[in-house]
Amino acid sequence: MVNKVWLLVPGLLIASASMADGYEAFNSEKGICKGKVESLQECRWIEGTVSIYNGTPSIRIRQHKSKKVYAVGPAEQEWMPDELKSKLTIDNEIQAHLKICPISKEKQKGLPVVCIDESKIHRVIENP
Amino acid sequence: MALTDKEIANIIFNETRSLSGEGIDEARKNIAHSIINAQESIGRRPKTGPTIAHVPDQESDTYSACAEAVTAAREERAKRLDPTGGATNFNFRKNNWRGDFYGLKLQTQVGPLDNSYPTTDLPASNIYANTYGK
Repeated sequence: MVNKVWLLVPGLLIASASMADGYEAFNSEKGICKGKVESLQECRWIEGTVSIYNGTPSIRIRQHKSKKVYAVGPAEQEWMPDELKSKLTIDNEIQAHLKICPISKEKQKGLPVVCIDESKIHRVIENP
Repeated sequence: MALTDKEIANIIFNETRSLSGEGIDEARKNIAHSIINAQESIGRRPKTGPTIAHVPDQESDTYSACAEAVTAAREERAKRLDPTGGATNFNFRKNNWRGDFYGLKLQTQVGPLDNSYPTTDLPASNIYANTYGK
């Protein structure tokens, strides 16, 4: 029994860390960015609005707190959950809790380009 | 609130400052039309990059070309001309694929253009500037 409790503790710590608004300290096993980004250690959760912009890359995230804008890459083959992509249209925007991962560790020119590893949709706003 | 012509020129500058080649003036004018069309059809600012531009001295000619593109688009519209056929969106592609953009149909395509600011999505050459509409 004692051994089982000790096995549970690290799991609980990891679960709580995964939902914190900040950098993650572990790799996601089921997210879609695995194998696509340089380091899953850089992934973090943010609150943001996803929408389709003019220009390239087209799918962008506006972070609520900082107003910082991220591009979702690669253009026209965006790495993001199907649930999110299937709901996104040219006429709406989606507010969500998003786990974003920079595709490259190096600072890039222009908008920072990310993969969306996981999403929890709060609201779909038509014709915002 | 409606975008001013200066703000439209700023958007075009931010989006196309790195692009060059035959047809760049036409591409900028088409983008100006699409921004104006979007604003007129949805009654608000279309989703674009910043409406503020920081123009280095060495890019003043490029900025002037963007401002002239807006003026040229306004002049065409005064004559009821719109070469984009009412396009409301634009993007840039790294090939001349003429497919839809999130359900919108291709209205105009200009290219190939060169890109002095290459990225993974938009390499140094063979860039196409497209407009789209319903």
